[in-house]
Amino acid sequence: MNTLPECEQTLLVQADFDGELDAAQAAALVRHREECAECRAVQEKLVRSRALLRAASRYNSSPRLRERLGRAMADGAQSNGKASLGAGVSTRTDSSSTRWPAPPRARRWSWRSSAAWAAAAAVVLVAVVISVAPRSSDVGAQLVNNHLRAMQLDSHLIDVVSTDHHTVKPWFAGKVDFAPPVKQLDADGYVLKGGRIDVVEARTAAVLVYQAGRHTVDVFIWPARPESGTIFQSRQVDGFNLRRWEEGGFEVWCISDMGAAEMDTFASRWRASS
Amino acid sequence: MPPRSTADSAFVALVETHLDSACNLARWLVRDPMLADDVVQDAMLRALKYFPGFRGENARAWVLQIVRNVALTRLRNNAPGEIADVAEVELEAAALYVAGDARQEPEATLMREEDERLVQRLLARLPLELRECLVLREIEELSYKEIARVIDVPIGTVMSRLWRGRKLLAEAAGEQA
Repeated sequence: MNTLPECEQTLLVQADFDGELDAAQAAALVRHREECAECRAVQEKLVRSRALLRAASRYNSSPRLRERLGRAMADGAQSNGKASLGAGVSTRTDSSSTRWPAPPRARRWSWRSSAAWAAAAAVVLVAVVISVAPRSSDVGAQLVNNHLRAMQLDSHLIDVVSTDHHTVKPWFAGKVDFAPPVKQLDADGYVLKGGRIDVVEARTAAVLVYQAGRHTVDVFIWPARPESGTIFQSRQVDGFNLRRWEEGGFEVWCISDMGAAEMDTFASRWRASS
Repeated sequence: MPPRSTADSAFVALVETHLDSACNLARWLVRDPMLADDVVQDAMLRALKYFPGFRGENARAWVLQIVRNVALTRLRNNAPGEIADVAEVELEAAALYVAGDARQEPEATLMREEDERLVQRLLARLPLELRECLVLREIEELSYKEIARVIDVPIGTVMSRLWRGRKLLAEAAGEQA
């Protein structure tokens, strides 16, 4: 058991870990954590408990429940004096079918099969890709494109699979004409999964891939152009969060479907790490 | 035959989107798979009934709040011991790993499967008040504000429960390592 008295900043350290602090609060805490042994112990516990919990199963709905629910809802809707949810439910993306005919006995409301769900997800993904395509001159949109494509083609997400930066860094040698900073952030709960090469605005970029809980984070790195001014940039494109900054002569972009606050935490940890 | 309202299709979309979250929370709260399915079904029917009054903000928290209320009512009826008052919870939490079976396993492996079984067991032993916070934060990835809404307590309470839960879990797991 931990015998150290708890530092009064404990809950703040936790809030930072959960991405609930703004950038200024988080930055102030980085300094405190360096000096406070108790808070470092707190951080370790947070990381350990998260690793454990994210190994736990998520109990998803069973087909049996979906079927049962479909029947119950049809009955429930009827007893509410409303039209029951009809079999036409799976066509709700089609605007012309919003007026479903009531099914014969109103008991046929079945949930979509998992195949149909996958198809629907694919449609959404394609829609996202199409919607960003026309803005391909924009770096952010291009990164969203690249990130999505890499996620879809699972095998292209990572060209070199390694959790060790001593393996990932040399892998880039000879493939890109610069030596990108490769950082390990295990202590912060972000696991380096590997790297890949990608092309952004006709430039070759080194990409580091991290796992943050259930999210994948891509970190794009290429040499900064001398005149590229902005220091830190924060954007959201089609539900993806992007952060951009410069360090050590490189332009760094990270992108993920994590929440904005968690993305800020990731970016600040990455920048703080050496 | 009344015309199909957009409210119906909106409700179907809402249920489809959040059904897995609902099942996960129900299962972690009541533990028993059959009971969890009953809870989800009841909760969805209740949601359907209340849906006209739902103002469309944060649907997931809204659904999970209903799931939790149904689950707690069921637990109170089926197993009154599960819902302890706060003092009991504190005691139980403190005693949890002293008497816990965590250290009876001689060697822990770092295998994922082992981890999973371990965490299932440890989490199941946590008092419900702590367990639900951990599940909502770490598995469902809700924000503090959303968790506060689902379990109807101030954000400060969410933070302290989360920390107590995480500390117990990390220390229990650490003792095995």
